[in-house]
Amino acid sequence: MIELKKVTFCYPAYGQEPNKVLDDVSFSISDGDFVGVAGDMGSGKTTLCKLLCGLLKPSSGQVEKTGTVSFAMQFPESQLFESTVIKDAMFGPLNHGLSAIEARKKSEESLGLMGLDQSFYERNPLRLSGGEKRRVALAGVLSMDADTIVLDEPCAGLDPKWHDRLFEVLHKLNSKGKTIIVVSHNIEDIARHCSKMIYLKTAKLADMGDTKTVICRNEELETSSMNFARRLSESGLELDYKKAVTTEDLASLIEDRLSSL
Amino acid sequence: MLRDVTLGRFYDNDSFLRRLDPRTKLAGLVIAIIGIFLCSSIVSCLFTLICVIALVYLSKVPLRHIFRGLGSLFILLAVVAALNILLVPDGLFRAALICLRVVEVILVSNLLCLSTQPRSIANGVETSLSWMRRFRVPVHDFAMIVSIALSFVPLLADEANRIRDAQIARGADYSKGSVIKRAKASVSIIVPVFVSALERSEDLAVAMDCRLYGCSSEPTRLHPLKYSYEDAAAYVCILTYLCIVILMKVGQL
Repeated sequence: MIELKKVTFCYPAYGQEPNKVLDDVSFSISDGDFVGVAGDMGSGKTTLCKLLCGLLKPSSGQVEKTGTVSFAMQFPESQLFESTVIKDAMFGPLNHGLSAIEARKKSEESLGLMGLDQSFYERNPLRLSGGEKRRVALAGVLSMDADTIVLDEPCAGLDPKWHDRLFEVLHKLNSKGKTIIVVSHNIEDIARHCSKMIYLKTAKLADMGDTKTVICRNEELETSSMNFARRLSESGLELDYKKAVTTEDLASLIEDRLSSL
Repeated sequence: MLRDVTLGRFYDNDSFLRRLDPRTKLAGLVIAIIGIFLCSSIVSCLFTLICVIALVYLSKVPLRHIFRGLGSLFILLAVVAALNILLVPDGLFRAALICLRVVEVILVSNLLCLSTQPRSIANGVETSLSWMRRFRVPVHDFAMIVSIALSFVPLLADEANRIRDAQIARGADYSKGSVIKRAKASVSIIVPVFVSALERSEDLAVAMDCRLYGCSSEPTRLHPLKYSYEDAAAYVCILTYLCIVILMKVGQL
């Protein structure tokens, strides 16, 4: 479980007043939750991730957590440095004190989850394609086998196939009891995959709760499906557009509406 | 510690030093460094220190920003001073002289960086060295290199911090163990920072090519440099300082 109690965080600004990035934020995340974090740029999402995994300490307030937390930062491919893919994936488990055999086993599992087979193991990670680098880096984070996995915009720049595949992997880990926290600008992704949602707005916790409820409560979080449904509604086909959070919701809403005509 | 790198970080305020033309500040820095190394007595060193303190006052930059990131340098100075006191005859005097000189050079250089935008420093360098164009020296390219290098220092420091955080999240520990062990561990930061720096420079080169960099031998300026009365006053002060230091040297004060 992770609990934030009245957490405020300020970055020291060079030559100016300290920059308050999170202001009096309190919430709790239970074990096994799949949580999405949304908010505008500069609303404090990345700082929140760093606080959750202990990279930053709050300026005031408390972050309480049980179990281990691993963190995949934005564009994690920039953390690659070893000479081979397998060595890079083993970096985290070895740092945690696992034996070489155990570390290799965990790394092979996570590389497998990310669709990287044995043919990749001895390749130089810096010479892979952008998408492959991303998958190696994420495998390096997953191989740590932490209880909670925090991912900061993991899908940015991934192709549609691996975008969906990554969420499949996260669901698989979630079904094994891992807590997943995903930061995303794509509200529809959060609506489709996350059971809970945290919405940050100008450094404050604007809303938190069941994903679809939070999206319906906040106009700024309107998804493209909701927007489409609203336009249909405005042009005569009456639909409760707030129920069309995802494309699937929209499809079934139109289906129901058309069958009732 | 990487967060404390001051090179290329500009402290934006409205101060006398901030308003000066970058050419005046560059000339001032060169003269100040010459003056500092001409100081061969404690009296002249203390006189220079008073002048530097006056500059700090004129810059309106808080001392904590000027001394930010210099912790390890002070340790090095302490070691040099201790070695001088223990091993060299007249060591206390030499130690004081070395420490004062180094601190003064660092203060004036830091003040230049903190009170001038990297692009202005480059403009200043380019305009000051424009006479070298007659000898086909690529002054504009040199100034651009200086400008980009200065702008990239804080960016690379931030990138290094980001990567360091990512590796710590993967269980890396850079604070424990022997110096050799820590140096080995830092490979996991150095390699990604180098890769990122090379990628960035390649992207920047392409972006500059796309925006016709180098197409004109005489590119125009958005803000041409212009001297003001404040610059004239600054030149008078700088030259007066140099004359006093030379007189002290000659008079063995």
